[in-house]
Amino acid sequence: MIDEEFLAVVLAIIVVAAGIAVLQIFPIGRIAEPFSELAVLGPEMKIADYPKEIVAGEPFKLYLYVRNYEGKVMYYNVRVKLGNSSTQINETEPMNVPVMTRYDVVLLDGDNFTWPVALSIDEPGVNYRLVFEMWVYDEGSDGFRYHGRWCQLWLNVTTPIVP
Amino acid sequence: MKLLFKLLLAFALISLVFFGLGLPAASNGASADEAEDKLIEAFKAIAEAERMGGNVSSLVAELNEAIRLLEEGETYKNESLIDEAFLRAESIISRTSEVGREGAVEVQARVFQGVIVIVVFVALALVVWRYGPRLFWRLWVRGNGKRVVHRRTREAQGRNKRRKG
Repeated sequence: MIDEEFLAVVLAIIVVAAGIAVLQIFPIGRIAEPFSELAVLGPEMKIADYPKEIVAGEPFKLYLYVRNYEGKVMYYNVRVKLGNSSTQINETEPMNVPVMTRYDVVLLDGDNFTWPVALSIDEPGVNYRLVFEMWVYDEGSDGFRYHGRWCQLWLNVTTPIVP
Repeated sequence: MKLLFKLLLAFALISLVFFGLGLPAASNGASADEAEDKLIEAFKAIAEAERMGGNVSSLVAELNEAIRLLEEGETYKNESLIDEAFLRAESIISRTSEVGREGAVEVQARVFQGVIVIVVFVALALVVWRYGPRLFWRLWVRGNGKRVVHRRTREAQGRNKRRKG
């Protein structure tokens, strides 16, 4: 006959193991609200030291960071545009100016990607607005759609000094 | 006759060189737009394979490599890089259905495993519900069986006070 104490301990272990197994079948980490991250980082890959004054025609360095929390694989397309203080942009409407350049990446859920970006502006001027818009591929419309995420940098572009 | 032979030989050589050089370019000759469309097609196939439960991480890595090739091809106007991007996207598309199928089988196995675990859990719960209390109280009695439990009544409290007094 099996000892009752031993039986009780075995039963308790089996109950705990079964509980853990059931929890694994119904994972608790489901995404409640899917979202994506877009960030512009300075030349040192930090959220600091952003350029404010640049020289026309000279490239300046930045980093672009994208993270996928959408719960599925996503095709991101970050569009770089140049506007000024009067150019409009918000969460529903992208900036209505030509695209300077674009960066594409496909990310699995939970993955992120950082691009080193070298840009230059040829025309001197003040209060330039360098905008980074996040677009995603939408299977419903079979095309890229503005995802409502955007970042900006205000820049003054000076004339290069001629020796 | 000799001249005709020479002419034919020259023509054959020229044709060979012309077609020989032309072949690699004609092997695909995809434009940047075509390559981009193919990349999107590959992404859609990957998304579908993921929905079926497939592990698409290696396909995503390959697609990103193809995207990089296309970007470089467009930047440096290099057609061979654009072709390479196109071919890689095609190769990804050809493998997504297999990855999707594997994923679907894996999902089925996981569901089956889940059902078994739940059945075992419910059976175990029934056993604990039926025999647990008896087992627990037997063990409790074994440990605490010699204790004498007194009922606290007003009379008993009065008796205790008188004893203390």
